[in-house]
Amino acid sequence: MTRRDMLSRTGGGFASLGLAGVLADQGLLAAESPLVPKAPHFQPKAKRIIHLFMNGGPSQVDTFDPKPALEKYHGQRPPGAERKTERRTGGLFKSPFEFKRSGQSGIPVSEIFPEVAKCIDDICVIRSMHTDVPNHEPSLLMMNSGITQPIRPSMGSWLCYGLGVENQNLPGFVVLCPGKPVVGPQLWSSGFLPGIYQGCHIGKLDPKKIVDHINNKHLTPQTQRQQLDLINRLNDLHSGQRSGDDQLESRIQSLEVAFRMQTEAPEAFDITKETKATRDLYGEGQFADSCLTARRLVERGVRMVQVYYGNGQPWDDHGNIENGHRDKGRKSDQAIAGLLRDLKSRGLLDDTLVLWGGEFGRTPVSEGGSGRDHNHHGFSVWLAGGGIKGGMTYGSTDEFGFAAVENKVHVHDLHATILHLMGLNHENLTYRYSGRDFRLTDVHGHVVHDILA
Amino acid sequence: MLQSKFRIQTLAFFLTGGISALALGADLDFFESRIRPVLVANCYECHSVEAANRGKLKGGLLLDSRDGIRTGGDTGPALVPGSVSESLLLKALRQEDLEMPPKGKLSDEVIADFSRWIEMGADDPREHAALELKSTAIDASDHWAFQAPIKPNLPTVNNSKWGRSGLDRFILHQLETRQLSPVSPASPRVLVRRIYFNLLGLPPTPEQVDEFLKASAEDHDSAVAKLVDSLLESPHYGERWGRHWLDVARYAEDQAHTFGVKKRANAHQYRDWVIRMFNEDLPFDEFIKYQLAGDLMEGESDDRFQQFSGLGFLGLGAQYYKNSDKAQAEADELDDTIDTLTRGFMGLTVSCARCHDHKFDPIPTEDYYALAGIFNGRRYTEIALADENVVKAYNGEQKIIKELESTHKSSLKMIGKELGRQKLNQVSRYLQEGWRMTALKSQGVQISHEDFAKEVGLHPHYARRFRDLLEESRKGDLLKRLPELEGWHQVEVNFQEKPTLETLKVPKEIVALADQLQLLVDDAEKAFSQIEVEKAEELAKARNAEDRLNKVMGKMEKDQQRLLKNIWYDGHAPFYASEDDVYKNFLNQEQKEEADLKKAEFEELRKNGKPKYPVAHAIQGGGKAMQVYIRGNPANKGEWVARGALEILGDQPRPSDPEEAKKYSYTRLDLAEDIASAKNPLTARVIVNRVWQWHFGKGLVASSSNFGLLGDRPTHPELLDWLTVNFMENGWSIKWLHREILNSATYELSSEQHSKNEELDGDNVSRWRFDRRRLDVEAWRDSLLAISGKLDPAMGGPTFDLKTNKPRRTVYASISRHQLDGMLRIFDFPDANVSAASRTETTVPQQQLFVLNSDFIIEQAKAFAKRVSQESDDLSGQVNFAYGLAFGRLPSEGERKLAEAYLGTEKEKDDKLSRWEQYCQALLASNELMYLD
Repeated sequence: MTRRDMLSRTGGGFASLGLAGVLADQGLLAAESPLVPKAPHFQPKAKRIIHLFMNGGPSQVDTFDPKPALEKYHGQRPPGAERKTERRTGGLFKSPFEFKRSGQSGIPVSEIFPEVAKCIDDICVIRSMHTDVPNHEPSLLMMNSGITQPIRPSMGSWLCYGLGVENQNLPGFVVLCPGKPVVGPQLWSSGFLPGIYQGCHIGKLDPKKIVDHINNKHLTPQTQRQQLDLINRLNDLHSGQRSGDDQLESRIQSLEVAFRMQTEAPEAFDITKETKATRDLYGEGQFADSCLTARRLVERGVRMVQVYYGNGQPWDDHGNIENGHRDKGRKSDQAIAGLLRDLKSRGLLDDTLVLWGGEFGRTPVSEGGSGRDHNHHGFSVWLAGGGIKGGMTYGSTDEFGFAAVENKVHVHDLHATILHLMGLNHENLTYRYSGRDFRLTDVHGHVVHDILA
Repeated sequence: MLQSKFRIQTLAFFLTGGISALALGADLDFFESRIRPVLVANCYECHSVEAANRGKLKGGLLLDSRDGIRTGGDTGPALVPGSVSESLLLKALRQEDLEMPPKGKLSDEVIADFSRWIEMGADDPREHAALELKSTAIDASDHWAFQAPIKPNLPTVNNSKWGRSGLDRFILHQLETRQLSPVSPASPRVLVRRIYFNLLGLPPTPEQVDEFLKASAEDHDSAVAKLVDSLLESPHYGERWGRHWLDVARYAEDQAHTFGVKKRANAHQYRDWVIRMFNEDLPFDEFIKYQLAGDLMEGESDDRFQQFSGLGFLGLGAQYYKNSDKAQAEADELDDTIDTLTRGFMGLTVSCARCHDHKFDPIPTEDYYALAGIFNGRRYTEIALADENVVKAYNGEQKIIKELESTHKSSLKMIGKELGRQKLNQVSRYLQEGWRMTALKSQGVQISHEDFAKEVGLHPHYARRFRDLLEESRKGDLLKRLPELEGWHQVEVNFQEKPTLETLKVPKEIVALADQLQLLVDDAEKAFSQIEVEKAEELAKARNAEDRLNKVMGKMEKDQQRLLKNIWYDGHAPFYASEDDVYKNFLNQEQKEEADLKKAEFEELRKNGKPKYPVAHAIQGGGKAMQVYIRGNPANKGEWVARGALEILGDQPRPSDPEEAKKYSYTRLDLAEDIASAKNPLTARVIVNRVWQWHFGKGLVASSSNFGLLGDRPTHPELLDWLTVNFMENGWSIKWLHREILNSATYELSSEQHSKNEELDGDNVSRWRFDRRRLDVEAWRDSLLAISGKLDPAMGGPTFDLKTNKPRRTVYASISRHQLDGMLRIFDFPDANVSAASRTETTVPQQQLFVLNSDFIIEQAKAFAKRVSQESDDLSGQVNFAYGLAFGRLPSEGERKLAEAYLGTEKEKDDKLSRWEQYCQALLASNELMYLD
């Protein structure tokens, strides 16, 4: 079977199979292609990851880490409430929200997340996260690239580098973010890794605009096919006089794949193909649509999808946290729960890791009376699915929820754990650059074994 | 002999003995039962000889011996017997500074045990004999790259017919030794294309091809030599070869992060300098010196552009976000400099020694800080490239603009001050009404401050400011500034029903507070006026009205001064009005027009005045000797290190005494001279190897920025040395090197297959053929423009955005560290945040989407088709012309048939491109246009 025979026979099944798999099976994808799927270091628990990124930094004491002591000391500034953060803060500030014990596990969840609360038995809340500094830029970078300077590859790029890409019709790492978050492109940068591992940022969920130049505006599909056949014939004549050159052959393949991407890739982003029941599950709005798109993408073999809550730094409630957090809860609660339920009912949650959280948390002390400042000393994130023990909390902050104290988990540890779940040893996932072997976790990181199923 | 310089002492630990009986003391039981088991279970994994041998030792700390625990690791002794407070171990266990063990805090009982043990004197039976320190060293004395290159004799070869130059003799010698044979030479048609792309990054025109073919038929060798000479004189040569260097120099115009960083508007001066220096064949040692120390080289050049613009190498370095951890960010910026210059010029990865001695090369961590000290404390700056007179004229005009502006602003500001002063007798009234406004608001009565002010006869500007001042949420600020109003917010009123503007009464407590403040303000105002009278003489010397008021204020008694500042004078005071406030709220139409006129005067000058002169981005200052940052941590400082060159390169040892180390002088110019020196075994080799790589696709040393022990060995060490010594003897001339390479038979080899060679040397290590390779993105994009006829040959100047599809050469596009252009990225342009030794090469569908669908390619296809249609009337002539432009040859029979078949068909109704345009796009999209034989 020749390359082109094979390509024309496999037409329909591309989306779910992933062309790479097909080509690799046939020995037809050039082995040196940076996109071929690669074996992990060991049997993975998760094959893909969805990161629900609450950029701006949600408050732990108003979401997943209730602190009754804040009631008692409301307005006061007892010892332990005087840690330095970015701005000037006042006394302790009790959460304006009720917490309710939920699920079999009875883990308390804030009233702003009633639907997520119902899924709590699938969730592991890490309450002892900490990071290095209380400023957005370095902390965003730390959460995404494991360093506070903007010059290293992001986790999604590392995953694509380590594991390859399952579906050649789609980018391996997709970032869904309306507009542009603070810092922007460096958050999904491939750094010194090959550019092809860079996250594909999609600002507007328009199937026609999901990859640069995906849309041919000049020719009908039939004519473009004819034109591509002409290119292929020219290339064949060219290769005929230069036998056995793999690089020429891989470019020919690559043109064919590009041609197919034009129809296959937009389909993956077309949520109108979903049933009404499924769409209702997620609810309405940009964030809900992004969550649903994320499911369609991981279903089709995309390695990592990052769903930013919104443009700028929406969770950054320096003032009026009550209205701010309630509103963002309302706009995301159903979609998050919908995603978990949808993944579960399709059997995808077993090997899809879901991460929820921001770049840091917020202070238990008030800023300006009604808001909270950035807090890197302690915050919460949660994980669900692929290899995670559900219905548990891990670690804890001090009595006010200011700083992580027990079983502390640094962002490096979170990264190490995620790579572990994806079948990669974070100390062995290295890239030689500038005379050194670089890692996502630099010289840090411990896998948090206690939260693994 | 320099042997000792190549050794670095590193420590390794070997377990040799057991417990000494002598150490058995009274508290031994306690240690054995309560301490040792905890250490074994929780600490040894990362802090023991065993861990060290596994390479897993953390923080340089050993806890499995008495010596180890008392000597401590990178942060100092882990314990001090008898002193709990000085014992880091206990701090770590209590998770105060360090947090140990990393998996979680141990129980309070265990921590109490440790505390007691230390108080009791920390008896420890794990005697000194338990460990023996043995030193090992990195012995790099015979590493090839640290030996001075010596010109070898030309090797003997059997085949005396092949080869044209000394270079070829080395290549052939190895081929013969390995039973390989060179393939046949490339045809002149292939060769001319290769040389054009190689030297100019552009395809030859059909005429240029013909010219060379004719000359080559007469005398091939001299035709090649002549072609090479003429292309080296083309200004496009510098555009091509300058860009190679810009990869190494991580050239870009901006910074990776978001906040507070501006694009450096004159970054292109550095790019243009590099291009010009390549075109002028500036000796490479000079090229280095200008980039590191152009500003310190005296009398070298009276051309400011030449002398200063090269400093962009340093001046366009990294700038990081300094809001959160300034010391760390500055250390990271220094690292960018050290990394770029050591890898770029010397092929050494000195950055590896930032946190610890280099693990593979003889570069101790002191070396890193010796280099870093040369730059420590530097500031990014700009150096004028224009003539002194031009700079003076510009600065003079700017000064005038500033003065006009400041006069304008300050006159408005003074009006504001005067207006506020006139209101000082109404403090009580405004306070009371302010209270009413906040009370109404808190009771949910909607009334704007304008309406309120109008009703009660206040000025709305001040009414709003008093209301804001008295907001409950700003209580803290209020009481800090006006403690006289203590109690203001405690006054409670029971509202039976919703109050209205008319019914709401001011409580007597508030009235009392307001009146009391009024009295104090009155007194203060009186004091102020009195000073104005008494000190009139002195005040007459004030620079201007504002200065005069400030002076009066400065003479006030402290409490009264605070009062006036907070009620009237300062920006946050309620009776304050800024320039804008005055303009908007207090001027009448006529006054406004007058103000507008004044403003227009300087704004007009600003807009139409002299443009800013060009500048070079450079650095200034620096040279503050540093202490080693232990583990790279700026907060953890070790020994002082004198500024200086790398130990393996320096002629004399750096002073080690801290005081002398601090004073020891070693400047950027010293560094530049030590790098750009014939005595430096690395520098010339590194650039010769890079030039080889840029000609052949891979270097004689494949790791072209790493000549250390972990880098690749040269495939042809003698050839590299022969070229290097000749290169230096020929005045470090890059153009000399080009001629040497391009006139060789090795360069002229075809890229064809050879099955026997393939079997023995599939990777072509021994250079039995020329490696076919993909054009880099610049050459590919530029050649599409050249073929379509749209290429704009203009040189230099400000950058352009690739998304605009301007037909300028790609080297002039703007290069971003924050967000690299999408086309550049998918075609493997390197990340400009770090020095790039070579380009990775990927073949991915995203590239082909650009080829199939981008506006850029469609524009070129259309222009190409138009150009072809204008050339000839018959199809055959047109196809010939198209092939000539695109590939420098005529089509084959098969290709001609394909063209006829495709072009003989009508276009579909819905297609927006003609058949010819489609066909031309196919030629542009072909492999032949992307790969160079």
